[in-house]
Amino acid sequence: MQWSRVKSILIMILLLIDGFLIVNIAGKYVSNYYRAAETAHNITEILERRGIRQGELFALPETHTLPVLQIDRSRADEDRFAAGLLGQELVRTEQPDGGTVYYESAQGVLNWRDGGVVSGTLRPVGYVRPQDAATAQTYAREILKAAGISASVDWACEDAGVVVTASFPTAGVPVFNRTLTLIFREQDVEVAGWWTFGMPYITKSGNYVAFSATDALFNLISKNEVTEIDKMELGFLLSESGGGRVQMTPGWRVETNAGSFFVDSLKKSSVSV
Amino acid sequence: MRSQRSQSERKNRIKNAVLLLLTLLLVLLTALGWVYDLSLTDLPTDSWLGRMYISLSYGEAGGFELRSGEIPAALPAEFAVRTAEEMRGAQYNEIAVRSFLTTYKAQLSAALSMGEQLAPMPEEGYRKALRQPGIYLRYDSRVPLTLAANWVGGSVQRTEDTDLLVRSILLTQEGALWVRTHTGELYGAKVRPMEGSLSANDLAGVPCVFAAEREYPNVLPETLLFPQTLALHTLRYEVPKFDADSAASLQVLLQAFGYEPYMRNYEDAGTGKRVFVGNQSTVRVGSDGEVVFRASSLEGGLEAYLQSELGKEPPLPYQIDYARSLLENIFQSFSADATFFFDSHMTDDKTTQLLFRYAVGGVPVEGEEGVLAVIEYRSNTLMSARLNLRSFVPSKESCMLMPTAAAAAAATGEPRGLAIGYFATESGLVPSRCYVTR
Repeated sequence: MQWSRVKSILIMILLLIDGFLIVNIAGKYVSNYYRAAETAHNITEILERRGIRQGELFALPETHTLPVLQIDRSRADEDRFAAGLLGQELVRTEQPDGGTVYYESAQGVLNWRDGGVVSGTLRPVGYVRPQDAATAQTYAREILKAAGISASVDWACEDAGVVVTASFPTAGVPVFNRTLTLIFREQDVEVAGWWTFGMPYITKSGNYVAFSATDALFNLISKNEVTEIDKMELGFLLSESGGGRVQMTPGWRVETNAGSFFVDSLKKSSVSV
Repeated sequence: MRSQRSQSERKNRIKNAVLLLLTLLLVLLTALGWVYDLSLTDLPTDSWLGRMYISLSYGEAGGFELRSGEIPAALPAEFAVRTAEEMRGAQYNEIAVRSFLTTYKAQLSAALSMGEQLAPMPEEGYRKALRQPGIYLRYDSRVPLTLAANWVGGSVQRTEDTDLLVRSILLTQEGALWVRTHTGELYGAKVRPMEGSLSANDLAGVPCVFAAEREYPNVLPETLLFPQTLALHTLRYEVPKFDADSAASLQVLLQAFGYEPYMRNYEDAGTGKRVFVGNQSTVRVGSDGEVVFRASSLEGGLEAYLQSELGKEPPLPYQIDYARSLLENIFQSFSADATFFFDSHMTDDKTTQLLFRYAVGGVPVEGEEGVLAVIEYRSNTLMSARLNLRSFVPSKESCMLMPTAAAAAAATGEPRGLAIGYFATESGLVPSRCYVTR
C-alpha cells in the first residue's frame, strides 16, 4: 500500500478519535452546566417554600476542594512582631504554662495568646491620629511593616479611616477570621486580631474537603432562623488545634439577614463570624 | 511531470502536518479528559504533577506546603535545658514543652539525623554528660528513634531490627548524643556540636535539676527534679451519645471512615450496637462509646498513602500520620476535652498495630480507661480501628502530687524513672506520680 494512502487512513482514524474525545469532554461540561442550573433551580424552590428570600446578587457558587491546613505557633515571629511595634527595649514576660506572652515598653503593651490571638495598645513616638482613610491606611501600613508584615496584605477601612483592617488569603481563598485591626484613637492605637506566621502545611495523609455550597446552605437553614440569604463565599476559619497549633478549616461564609455564619466543613455546624 | 511531482510533495507535506496536528490534539484532549476527573486523592501530592495541580488549583505554589509525617503524634512528657549558669525545664505541660521543642528543633534534628552511629555505652560517661550544658527530653510513649527524628524534621537510617525505642534523649552542647531506651539500655554517639547558644530564660520553664546531682540511687540519673509541687484535678469520664438529642455528630464520625448516616444500617441484636454496612467494611457504633471499623478485604480498607510515594522510606511515619489525622477527624464529632498521643506499636510479617491513648492537660490516662484506639494496618491499608470514645470532665476535687524529690527518695530497688498518670479508682480518675520500671 502506498504511504500516502496509509497517511490518509491514519488521518481519518485520528479525526474520529479526536472527535469522540471532543464530544466526550464537551458532554461533561454541558451536563455539569445543566446539573448546576438544576441544583440552583431546586434550591430556589426549596428556599421559597421555606419562606427564605435570595438576595438580588446571590448566586450559588461552585464547589472547590480545599485542604485542611495546620500552622505552628512561631514564638520567634511573635517576638519580632512585638519588637517591631514596641521597640527593642521591651520587657517580655510569660505565663507559667506558656500560653500567653506579654510585652511592654514605653511604646505600649501587647500580648500574644496561644493559637495566635494578639491584642495591645500602641503609643508610637510622635503619634497624631490620622484624619482620613488614605492617611490611616498609610499609617497602618507603616506600623505593620515595622512589625514585619508587609507582603500581599489586603486592606479595608471603616469609619472614615479610624479602623483599618489587614488580612491575606491562603490557597486563593480568604481566611475569614485572620485579621489585624488597628483602631486609631486620640492618644494611642489599639491592635487586635488573630494572625499567623509561617507557611500553613498539610501532610500526605491530610484531608482535602469538597463541601458543596448546597450542603452548607441546607445545614445552615436547618439550624438557624434565616429569612434572607445574600452571599456565599468559600474560605477558611482559624481555630485552636491544641498545643499551640492552629487549624485552618475550610467552609462557607454565608451572609444572611440574621448575620454572617461560617458553616464548618468538618463539624458540619455553623458559627457566627 | 515536474509539476505533478511538486504537487504530490506538497500534498505529502500537508498530510504530515495534519497528522502531527491531530496527534498533538489527541494528546491534549486525552490529558484534558483525565485532568477533568482528577482530584488530589488520585495522585501523589509531592510529585511534580501533584505540585503542578496544587499550583493550578490554589494559585501560585498553593500558599501552603506538603510535609511528610512531621506532625508529632506524641510530645515529650518533659524537656529541660541546661546552660552554664542554670537549668530550667517543664513537664506534663503541652504548651511549655512544645515551646522548648520548637526552640531546639533544628539542633535535635541535626543530632538525631546522625543517630545511626549510636552504640551501647556505660553509665559513667552519661552521668558526666548530664552535668554539661545541653538539652534533655523524655517521652512517656515508646517512640522509635526513626520516628522521633522524623518529628523534628530529621531523618535517621535504621532498619526495623536496629531501631531503638526511645525513652529519653540527651544532647550536650559539645555534641554528645545519648539515648536511653525503654528497656533501660544506654546508647551514645559523638555528633556535631550544637549550633547557636543555649538559653532557657525566655521559655516557659521552671528551675530543675537531674537526680544525678543529688543522692537518689534508686531513680535513673536523668530523672528531673522540680522544687514545685503539682496539683491536678481528679477526672471522671462520660461516653458521647450519638443520638438526636446529643451534640455529638454521628455524621461527622461516620464521614471520618468514608461513611454516610443514610447508608444501610441495622441494630445488632446481640450487642445492641448500630451497624453501618459498606461494600466491604462495617462501622459499629455502640452506646458505650465503642466504635469499631473493620474491613473484610484490602479494597474495603482505608488507603493511608500511595505505595508508590513511599520509596525506600519506612511505612510507620505514614501509618501513624494517617491514624493521627483520622483520630483528629473523629475528635471533631464530639467534645473530648482531652488530647491523644501515639503510645506504642507492634509489627509482625503482615500487620502493624498502633496504640493511641488519651492525655488530659498533657498527663496520660493510664490503664484500659486511657486507651483511645487500636488501629491495625496491612501494608498501606487501614484494616481495622477499635475506638473507645470518651469525654473527660474535671471534678472540683484536686490532688496534690508527691514532690519529685520525695518520690525519688522513696524509690526502692533498681533505678527507675518517674512519671505522672491518671489512674482509675472508685472515686474516678486520680492523678498520681508513678515509677516506671524497665
